[in-house]
Amino acid sequence: MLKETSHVANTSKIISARGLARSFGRTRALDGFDLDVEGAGVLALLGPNGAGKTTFVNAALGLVRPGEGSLEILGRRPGDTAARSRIGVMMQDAELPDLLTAREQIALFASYYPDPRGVDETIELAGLTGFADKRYARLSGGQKRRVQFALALVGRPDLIFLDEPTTGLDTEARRGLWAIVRQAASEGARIVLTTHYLEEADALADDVAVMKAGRVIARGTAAELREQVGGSLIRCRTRLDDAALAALPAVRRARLSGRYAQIAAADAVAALKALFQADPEVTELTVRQPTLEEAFDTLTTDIEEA
Amino acid sequence: MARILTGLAVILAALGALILALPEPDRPSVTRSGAGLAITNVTVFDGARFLDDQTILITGGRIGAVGPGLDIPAGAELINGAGLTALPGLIDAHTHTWGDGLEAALRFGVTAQLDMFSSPMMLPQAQRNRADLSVHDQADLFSSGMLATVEGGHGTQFGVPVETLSGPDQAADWVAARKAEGSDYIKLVYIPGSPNLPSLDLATATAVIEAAHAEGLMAVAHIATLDAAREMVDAGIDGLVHIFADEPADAAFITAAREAEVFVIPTLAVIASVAATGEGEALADDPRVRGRLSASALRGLEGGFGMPPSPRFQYPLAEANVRALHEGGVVILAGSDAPNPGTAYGASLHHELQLLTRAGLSPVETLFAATAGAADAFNLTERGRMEPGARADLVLIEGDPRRDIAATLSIAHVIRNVLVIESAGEGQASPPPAGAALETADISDFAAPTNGYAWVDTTDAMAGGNSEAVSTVTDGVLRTEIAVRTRFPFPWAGPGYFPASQAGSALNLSDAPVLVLRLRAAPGTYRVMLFNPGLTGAPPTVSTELDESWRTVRLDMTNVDGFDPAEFAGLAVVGGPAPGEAWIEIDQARFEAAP
Amino acid sequence: MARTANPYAAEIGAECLKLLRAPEFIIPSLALPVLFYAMFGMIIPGSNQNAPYLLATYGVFTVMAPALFGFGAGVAQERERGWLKLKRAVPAPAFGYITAKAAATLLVAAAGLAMVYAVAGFLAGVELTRTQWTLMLGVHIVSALPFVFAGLTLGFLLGANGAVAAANLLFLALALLGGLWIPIVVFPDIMQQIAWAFPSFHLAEVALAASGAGGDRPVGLHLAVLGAMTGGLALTATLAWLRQR
Repeated sequence: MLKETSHVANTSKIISARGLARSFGRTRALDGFDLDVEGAGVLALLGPNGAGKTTFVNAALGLVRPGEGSLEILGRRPGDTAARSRIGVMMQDAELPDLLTAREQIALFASYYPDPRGVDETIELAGLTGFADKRYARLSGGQKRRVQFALALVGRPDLIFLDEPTTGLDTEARRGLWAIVRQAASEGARIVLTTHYLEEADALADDVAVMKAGRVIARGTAAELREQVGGSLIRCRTRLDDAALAALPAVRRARLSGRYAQIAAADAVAALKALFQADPEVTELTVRQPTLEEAFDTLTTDIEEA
Repeated sequence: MARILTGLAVILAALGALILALPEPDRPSVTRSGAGLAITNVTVFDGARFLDDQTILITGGRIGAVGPGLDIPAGAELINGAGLTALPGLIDAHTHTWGDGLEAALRFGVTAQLDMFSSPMMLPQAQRNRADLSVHDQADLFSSGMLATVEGGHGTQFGVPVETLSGPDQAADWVAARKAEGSDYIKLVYIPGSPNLPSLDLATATAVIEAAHAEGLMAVAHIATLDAAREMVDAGIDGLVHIFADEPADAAFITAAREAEVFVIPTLAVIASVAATGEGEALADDPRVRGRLSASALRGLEGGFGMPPSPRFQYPLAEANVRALHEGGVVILAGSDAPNPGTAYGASLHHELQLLTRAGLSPVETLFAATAGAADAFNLTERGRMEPGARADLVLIEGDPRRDIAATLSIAHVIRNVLVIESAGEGQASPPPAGAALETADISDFAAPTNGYAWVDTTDAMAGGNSEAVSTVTDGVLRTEIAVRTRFPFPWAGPGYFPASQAGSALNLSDAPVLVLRLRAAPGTYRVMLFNPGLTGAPPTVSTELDESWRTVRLDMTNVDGFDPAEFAGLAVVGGPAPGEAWIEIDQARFEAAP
Repeated sequence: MARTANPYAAEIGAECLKLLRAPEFIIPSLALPVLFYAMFGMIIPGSNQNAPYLLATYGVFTVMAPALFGFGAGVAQERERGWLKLKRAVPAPAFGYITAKAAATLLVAAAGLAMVYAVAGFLAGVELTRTQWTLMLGVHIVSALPFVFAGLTLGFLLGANGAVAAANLLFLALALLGGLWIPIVVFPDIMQQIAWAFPSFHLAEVALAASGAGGDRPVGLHLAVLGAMTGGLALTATLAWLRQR
């Protein structure tokens, strides 16, 4: 069973969500959603499409009202003016006006906040130098995302939501944006990003909350999560069938795939000992740490099987 | 931010500057007296009597006080009235008001007109203006609106739609409709035995009078004969709006009229014009009149009816009857019947004052007839008297009308509410120069300008009407489809020959004053309208019957009353005033020398 | 660092920039009315006499295009792009966007009116008293209101493509059937009655009255009808706005 990280009582809670539920028609987009966020750093809300990530972000922004549960953002009701003036946001599906330049959009958003960054400083921080005076419509996909990110940054907010910030970008553009997010995070803001790219969570997040079917099913650092889902992945050629493999000590799961057996083991050493005992002729053996992607597969499958 | 505010300020300033720069129509020069106006050392006619050496205080559009040696409030504008006589604003008790009638009247010190038939469309505006004590450059208007007559009777020939009556049973509804439209009183036409026009019968006329009284309205009648006048007095009429001039008033009639308290508005000015006494032309020669008249009003005043002498209009009898009625105790009021031919708004009321004096009224009685008498007869509150609380409608004249009633034309100031209209009239003081010489006598090129003039479509749209005309030129023939509609009271539509540009000047056709037109049209009556520069009223018009066969019409413009060929400014061939659709085709048009 | 700019002023500036950079908006809004007016009030021979009448009606026409298209198409497009949602998530003032759009629309309308008035006064020979010019300008600017609400309703209810199509349709109907292009009195009676259903007709009548050329009906009646129509449109715009949230 997965455990949630324990919470320390803290007066400066950034997000405090308890038992949120929200349905759209028959779909339960949020269903017993609990989350506490405090301090600085990047939190990734990780989950497949439809897990409820965007619904939670919209609820945190005050755009969607949860049907049940309690939610406080920066100690305030979501959507409250005081809360909004400390929040920056980059939405998944919000396009900016085509006819304004990045600089004009940033200046406009700066006017909304009580203590904004300078426009030039924001341009530099968001990596817009060189195309800040081009109209939005003429920018590439990655450049557009950076402008949107700049709008999230300009108000010098305490909390920034980035909803699927790199969806639709090519690898290079994505890595470019990551670098900028990391830079911003180092300035001290709390960033909550949603993503279905494990790689992204892995690359950016100090802290990962895995979402599945409207709730958080696991919480921890990327390493902790990997740890939780089992120490190692073993691949080899063997004469054993999958039932025999699964019956070995310290093995969580095993399956045969083509010529190879895939074995997820809680303890690689114990599992390997038992494997060699059962089949001394094991060949082409590799042992490695699972990627977060593989960990994520494991976690969500567990829930489905539960 | 600062840039945006600057931008906003610049745009607002630009709009303001534009509004200030946009052209305004010419207006009489006026000054406002905000803190009030005081007229000192002035002789006052208060509506009944003359008082010498008075002070008049005016504030808030009303007379505040009249009396000798009053204290003058600080800041008040001052007029030294020494040598001047202040009359209450004059009331013209018989007009037909349209166009610039109210402005023209005010230039002559006439501050209220009692209209005796015009379009009911004018009534709401007239009532609003009457209630408004702020700056006006117009006289106030009271009106009967539509008149009561029969189909084809007097009043139906002018093109204003008239709801006619055919029997007494319609009277109540008809009067109720007038009251709903805002008529101030009811006017009916009773001319039995008229040689050329049908008339209401006595039963219907009586029913109209009774219906008016039942609605709380006065009824006045247009009559032309003693017999008709007698029948109206017996039927309970409140006033007669003309004097009869067919036979002398007899004692029985005078007694009946006095006892019934019927007032009479003789309109000697217009009867003089019908009888072609030449009075109007003489008045037009007075520089005090001429200087206040527009060119068209001047032509109107110099014009006439062109009717042969009629035993029904014997001018000396008209004056004699006024004298007899006045001496018999019947109330006489002053009315001009402007703008009939031989009369002009404003000017002809002064003419009427002269004629009433000639008929035997004293100057005081004459001035009473044009001020307090009219106000009393028509229950016009706040008007006609120089007393505290009355409207500040005054005319200041030079000289003493007690000695010479014609002094009323020596107008020094007209005061209307808080407005002082300076004495200089806006009309032209000298005759206009003749037009440019004619270059091309043949004006049949319908597609290109000749003489700086071009054929265009002309309709009453320029006067606010909704008639239409659309022309095409095919094989040298100008064809104009017209639709005459009734939004404007005197509708017209058709092709016209007018200056091709705004700066187009008048043409001198003295040497080629015959207009020759080869034309045809959908069968019906059409009018040729002739224009001189500065026309403001209805243009001189000649009617002609046309049908689908081509014919050549020759019109010697020197013979058209009120038109001066030396200053031709345009012509139009139009349908109307009867509404409907038609077409006109013109093949040739040229000017020729007189034979 | 303190607040850099008043958010309303910044919003108005942004909206103005957007309008000025959209030729497909600015050309029909500014050039068409003045061209049409010059054509029908001046250039066509004999049309000069209609210039004062048409000034009143074309003034309403001038204001209608920016109000309908700026709001109808503009709002629908930006709503569809998620721009409005983003603004609700950040501390942008609640009515800043609408206020700014209205201000920008009025500026474009005022520029259009200035051109039409200039043509009327300086070229077509229209003469009105200062009071009449000012009154008519006031009527024309306020004319934007019902169209703004109508545009907003379209913008909130329809998608970008739908709103553009609907705004075009509405624009044509309001201009033609309301008698803005061709005087209403030219139409058959039935059309004149239909015109009563269009705010453009009543606005034109009020503008005519302001210019001293009122129609048969008292101007108060037109104002009352307009008040009711504008109120109704404001209500539908509010409902449409609540619905899209």
